[in-house]
Amino acid sequence: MYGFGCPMLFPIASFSFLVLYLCERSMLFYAYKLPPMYDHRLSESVLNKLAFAPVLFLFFGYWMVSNQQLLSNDNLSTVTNGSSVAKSNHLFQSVFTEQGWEGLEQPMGAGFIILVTLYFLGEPVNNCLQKCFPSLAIGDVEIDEEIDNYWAALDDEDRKWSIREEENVRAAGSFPILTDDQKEALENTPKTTGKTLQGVHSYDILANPLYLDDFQYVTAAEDDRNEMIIDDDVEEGNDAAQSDVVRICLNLAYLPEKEATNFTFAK
Amino acid sequence: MLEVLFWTSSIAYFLVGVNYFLRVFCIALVDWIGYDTETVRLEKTTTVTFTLQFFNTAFLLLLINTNWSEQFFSFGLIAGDNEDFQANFFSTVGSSIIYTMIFNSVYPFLEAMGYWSMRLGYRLLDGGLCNKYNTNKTSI
Repeated sequence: MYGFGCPMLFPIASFSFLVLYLCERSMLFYAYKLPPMYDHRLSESVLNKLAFAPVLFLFFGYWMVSNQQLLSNDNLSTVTNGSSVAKSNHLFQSVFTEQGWEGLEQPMGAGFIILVTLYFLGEPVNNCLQKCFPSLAIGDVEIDEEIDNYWAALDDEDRKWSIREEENVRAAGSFPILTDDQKEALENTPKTTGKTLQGVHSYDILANPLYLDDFQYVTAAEDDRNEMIIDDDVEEGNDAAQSDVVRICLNLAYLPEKEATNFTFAK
Repeated sequence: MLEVLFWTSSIAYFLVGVNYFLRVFCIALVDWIGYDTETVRLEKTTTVTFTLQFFNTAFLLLLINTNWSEQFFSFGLIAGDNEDFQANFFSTVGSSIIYTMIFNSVYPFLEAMGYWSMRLGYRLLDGGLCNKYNTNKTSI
């Protein structure tokens, strides 16, 4: 905003961005928790705000450069005493005179008018241009990632996770997560040679690292699961129950009424 | 000269201090209003915080030092010392803005160090100096 009159602000702004970048990056690695998955609106909001920055720069730049006292000593005015305000002879109406469009004032002023027009009327102008030149239009992009069916698109880790979890709940005498057909497909479908699923592969709440963390759940897919779980008794054979009870509690609503009403939290 | 340096530096630190409280206030206000999604909540927080801090840092100093008595319409701005972007503006308001921006540029680092020191301090209060694995907490 004041960069035209105080160019020192540009290197300071660059240094600010550098410090902010280094701090945020360090914090990301050493301090921050996993952030929520924000959508595109956040980026669009920032871009909208940034789009106004050149408008302000050109507006204040124009007003600074059109001040005759800023770049020359020929137009200085006298002050009668120390407390009186120095006259600038820089009036609003100068914009409508020839004096307001000399030298650098012309590109600054014209740039400001163009940017303001684009900022507030950009969409209608864009629509008109697209009507005149249809090739300018950016249509909907169809995304086809050519991913195989779900069972084939699971990578080794995700497949191991699902198989072990299923086996664990069935072995614990609890309710199955998958139907028998699904379990068979999970175990027997060969892995795709193409792309596999990225991120969280299942809608199972305990497949999501955020909830996994919150519930302090140790997945049955861990080979040394019993060693990873520490409970408050000396018996080492029942450690896995700490995590198993999390899954059972999360699925209490799916228990048959008889079992649910008789369910207790005793060891 | 020393007096000018003192006041411009004081204004810079004061502005950064006010900006910090404005930010905390805006975050609390947006949380209090409540929004459906995390994205909208963060978008509103950044918009309100940015607007307030921008006005507080960039416009407020300009407006309170403006004197438009020479113009055909003054908008009530007649109490300041600067009729325009003259030498006096750059030596008072301009230098304050530059000091503020310099302090702002290192502020993220200072803030991170401040919160890190607080965390370290609370850990020491909780577990003592001898063993960093000692704690009085019963859960993590």
